[in-house]
Amino acid sequence: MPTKRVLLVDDNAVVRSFVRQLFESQPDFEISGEAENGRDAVEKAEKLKPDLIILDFIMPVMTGFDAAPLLKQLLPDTLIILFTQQEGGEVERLARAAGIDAVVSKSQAASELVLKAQALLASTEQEHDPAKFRNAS
Amino acid sequence: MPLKRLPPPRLSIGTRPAFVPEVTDQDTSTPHTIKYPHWQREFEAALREGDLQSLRQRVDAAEAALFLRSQALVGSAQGHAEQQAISDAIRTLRAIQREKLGYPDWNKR
Repeated sequence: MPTKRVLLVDDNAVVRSFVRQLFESQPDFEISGEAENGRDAVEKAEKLKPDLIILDFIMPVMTGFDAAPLLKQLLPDTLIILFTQQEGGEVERLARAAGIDAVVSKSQAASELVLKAQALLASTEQEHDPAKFRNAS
Repeated sequence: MPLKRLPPPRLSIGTRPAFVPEVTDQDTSTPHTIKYPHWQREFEAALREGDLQSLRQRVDAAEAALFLRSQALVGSAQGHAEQQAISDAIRTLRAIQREKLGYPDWNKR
């Protein structure tokens, strides 16, 4: 799998640093940029065109839920994972409605985030290239 | 000699009973047990912060401490009570962010 570019969006610098280290420890990911809120994320995504966006939910200026539809409109092929402290069915429902591809709770092991990202990206590649999938299987 | 009845103590709202130590702006530390040393001080500092300029930093510090601690507790069989306390603390921080720091209210949708 070619290296995937990741945009990290979280208003907390410590959380961003933690997630950055997780992804940088994997050879198949590179961090292309960081953003501090939803509006910043939309601006940076437009320039950086990442393959994957790790998006916090509660942020100043613009929440992850408000940013997600704008990000999907700009970059329909970019995958979005909501990485949030909020949990529950309502969050899952709103996330789906906003075009978010997966939700990972911040109370789970953060390594789950990388596993989820790898699984999502792999499944997207299979969808885009079924021949490659058939050859691989 | 008949017992002399003492008048009832004159307390009104705002009166500090004698056994309660006076709390001032300078004396914000309360001698109590720190049950969760990885994050409780940061959380309480955010609760006490009155200056809006510093509040954002205090909330960020508390949120970071809570996040790192919850990562350390993943898979721990003994961390259930602390996880619950962390969830409660996060809810409180969210309310501060919404009501004092002007974060968007995602419930209004």
